[in-house]
Amino acid sequence: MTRVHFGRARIFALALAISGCGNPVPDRSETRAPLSPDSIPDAYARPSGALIAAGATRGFQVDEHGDLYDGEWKVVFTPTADGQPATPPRTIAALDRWRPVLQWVRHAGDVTWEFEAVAVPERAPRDTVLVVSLLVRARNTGAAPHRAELSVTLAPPDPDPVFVAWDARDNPRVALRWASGTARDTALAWCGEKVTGATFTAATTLAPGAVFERRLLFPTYPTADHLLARHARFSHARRVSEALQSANAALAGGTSFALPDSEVVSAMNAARLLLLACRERRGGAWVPIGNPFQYRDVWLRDGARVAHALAITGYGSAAREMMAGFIGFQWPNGAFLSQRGQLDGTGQALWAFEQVLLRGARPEELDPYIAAGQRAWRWIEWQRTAGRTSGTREGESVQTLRFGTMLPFAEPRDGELVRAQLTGNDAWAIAGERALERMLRARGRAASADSVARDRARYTDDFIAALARTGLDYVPPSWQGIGRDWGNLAVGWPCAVLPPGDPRLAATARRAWEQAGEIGLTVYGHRDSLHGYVGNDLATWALLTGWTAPADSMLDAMLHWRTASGTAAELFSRAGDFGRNLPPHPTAAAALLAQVRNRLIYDDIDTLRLTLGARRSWWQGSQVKGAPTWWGPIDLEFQHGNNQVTWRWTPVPVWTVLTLPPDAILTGPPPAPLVAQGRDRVLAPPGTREATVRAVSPTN
Amino acid sequence: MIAIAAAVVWVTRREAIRGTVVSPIDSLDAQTAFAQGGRLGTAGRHVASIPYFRRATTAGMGEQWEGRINLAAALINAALEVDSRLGKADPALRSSYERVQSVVDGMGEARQAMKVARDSRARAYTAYQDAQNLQAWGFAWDALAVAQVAQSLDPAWEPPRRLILELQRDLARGGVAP
Repeated sequence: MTRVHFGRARIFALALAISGCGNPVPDRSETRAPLSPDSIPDAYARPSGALIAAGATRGFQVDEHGDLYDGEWKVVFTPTADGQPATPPRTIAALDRWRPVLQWVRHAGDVTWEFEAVAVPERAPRDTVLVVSLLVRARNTGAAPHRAELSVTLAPPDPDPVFVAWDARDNPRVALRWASGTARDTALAWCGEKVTGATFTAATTLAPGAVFERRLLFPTYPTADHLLARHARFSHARRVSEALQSANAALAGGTSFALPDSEVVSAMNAARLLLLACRERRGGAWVPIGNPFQYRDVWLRDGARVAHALAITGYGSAAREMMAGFIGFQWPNGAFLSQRGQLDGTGQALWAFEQVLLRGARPEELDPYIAAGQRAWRWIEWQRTAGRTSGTREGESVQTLRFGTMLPFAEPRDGELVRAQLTGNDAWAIAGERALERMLRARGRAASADSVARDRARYTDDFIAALARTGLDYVPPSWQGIGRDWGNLAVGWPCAVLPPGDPRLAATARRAWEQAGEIGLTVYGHRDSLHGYVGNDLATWALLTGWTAPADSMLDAMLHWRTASGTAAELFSRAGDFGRNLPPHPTAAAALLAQVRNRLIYDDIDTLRLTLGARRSWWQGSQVKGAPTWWGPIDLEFQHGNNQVTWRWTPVPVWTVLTLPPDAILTGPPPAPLVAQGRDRVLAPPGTREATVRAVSPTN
Repeated sequence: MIAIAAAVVWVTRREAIRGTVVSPIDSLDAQTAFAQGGRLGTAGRHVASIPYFRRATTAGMGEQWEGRINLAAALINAALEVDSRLGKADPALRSSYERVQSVVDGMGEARQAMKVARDSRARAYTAYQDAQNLQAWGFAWDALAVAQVAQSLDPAWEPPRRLILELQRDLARGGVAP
């Protein structure tokens, strides 16, 4: 039986078979049960972890030795048993691979040294500082007594540090001092007792089965002794419990993704918490940072992706605060630029304004961004006019510039890694003009929107003509044909300069995947340098063409290439070596979130697309609640069983395209007013809230 | 009551002391501040030179082209300054947010300098500096337009002409080296 309901029909709850989608806080009772972080996989060659928080201007990296480093000093741990040093940790894992509590284990013969750490943010306005609460526990797992000794040393950074905090002091260097209860001084660590020098030592003889533990505190900035003592009044268990509850509250504040796919849900949880943590305050605005460690800076190219990912996964407020930060990157000429030579910033800023603000901002909130966008639009068009009307003199004649209608050359020192006219800059500029047009229409300013639309149409025509002049059948990184694949991969999605079916997009993807030797993940510069996120634009473009294999491959790769705390690196070898490009990378997290959300709910056009790329397992029954779209927040439920496919969703005032499960095809025409679109898609008219069709999977 | 009153007095005094704390730079006369800013700028310490040049403008050089243009240059150069911290070379300013703000402030100071420039060479220099700044950040067409302004302000001065030729050549080649 095929059913369809319209209008005010009741929504009945689907019988969902969901596992691994809830976020219960683990029992943190003081059981002293052994930690088992090594059971959590880590795809990379060496472990690492991040103890970070939103607003904090430093974080602690937990390195492969199990030491802490905040960009100014190190905390070096030397656990031993009977004088034998403990091994370095195999993994540094987050609880459930996403919760903000890190655990790692080091072994010294029969003695197991367990470490558990959690970042405790201060309240604003002191939220630039965070304090790490760390519990060290030695456990004698043998049959004989052992002497366990722990040394913790405050030390200067390595001679060639991977990163240094922007406000680290060179002269004089920070005093490597432990807090003592009464001193009126600042310290870098607290252990609850007086320590002379930079090293704290504790030792005991452990009987078989016995446990010995110490609690330690490490602030990211020198902190007054009495403040550390005040922190110490709250137990480690309480700090852990607070962090777990805070993380759950943060996730509850966004879109709920209840999928029967615990790996995806876990990865999304880690990704969302990372994006929320990688934010710094600038006055009343917030800016997204490129990484908590070596890329503690702001790039519009990364920030736009982060803001977009937050906006489409239910964090509109946080994303809007970032847009206020983006305004600080507008130059007097109207362009947006964060780093020298990165001219894609203008289009990316406008695109981010649209993506964030048209999903839930109050209409009047758009106005300052429209004003900024109009200045940017005039700058873009002035560039094109300058190029169009210029030429080179050759004898008596003047030759127009070959790519004069495109943005001028630039040297981004990143991405394409070349000095040339970059196709991605133009693709983003076109996307930016489209974004401005939509914002103007949203405010009822049709005449202004029409002006922008005319310019965008001309720009798109010029882009296509320029492509033809390259003589290439794909979109090259630059109009001159040189450079590394980067912005050119965004031409299909999200820039939508060419329609998904354009053969040049397929050729661009094919070329990138051939270089990688696989479909999905792409490489950067070298066949052995895998890139964690840039290929996601191709994967999403493939989804839009109805080709799910690249997106499946990309998602599989993004799920595989995770640390034990659930986050990803930007660049790494096939052997998993990320070198000095430390995880976690927010843009990789943003790519994962965008892909999963777009597979479920895709609204970046005038049609709502549901289950565009829902994986087979998700059809056991999935539920999404509170997903922001152009038409307001929507809920979605879908299920496939007994040759019947059912969707229920919040009605929207536009047509909805429903994609059937992988390999499933309609067994006949869907009931009116549903309309079949091929054998694997169904169109539902505006206002529809439920659809059921009969479908079979021929492969079954 | 006495204790409360004492606390109020203590807090009030503390706030008063905070309110009166001034930087030693703020006590310098314009010429001393300007000279010190110049020394720091010449040594490549542009971030450090900013408060000195700022002091010079507030202490009497605000209507002088030299005061404004040097503050502008310090702000613009600060965004490109590299500093060594704990043995690692990094941008001197915290992030691109601060760097862009610094350049935009510097461009604002350059506009002020243009207003108080006493001759065409000073006006041409101001525009030329602006063009170089735009070129450094990747705005080739903007740089060319401003360089042409600089040339028009003082046609006999060579640097703008050279910059124009360089930009025209690069724009024609799409930035690619021959």
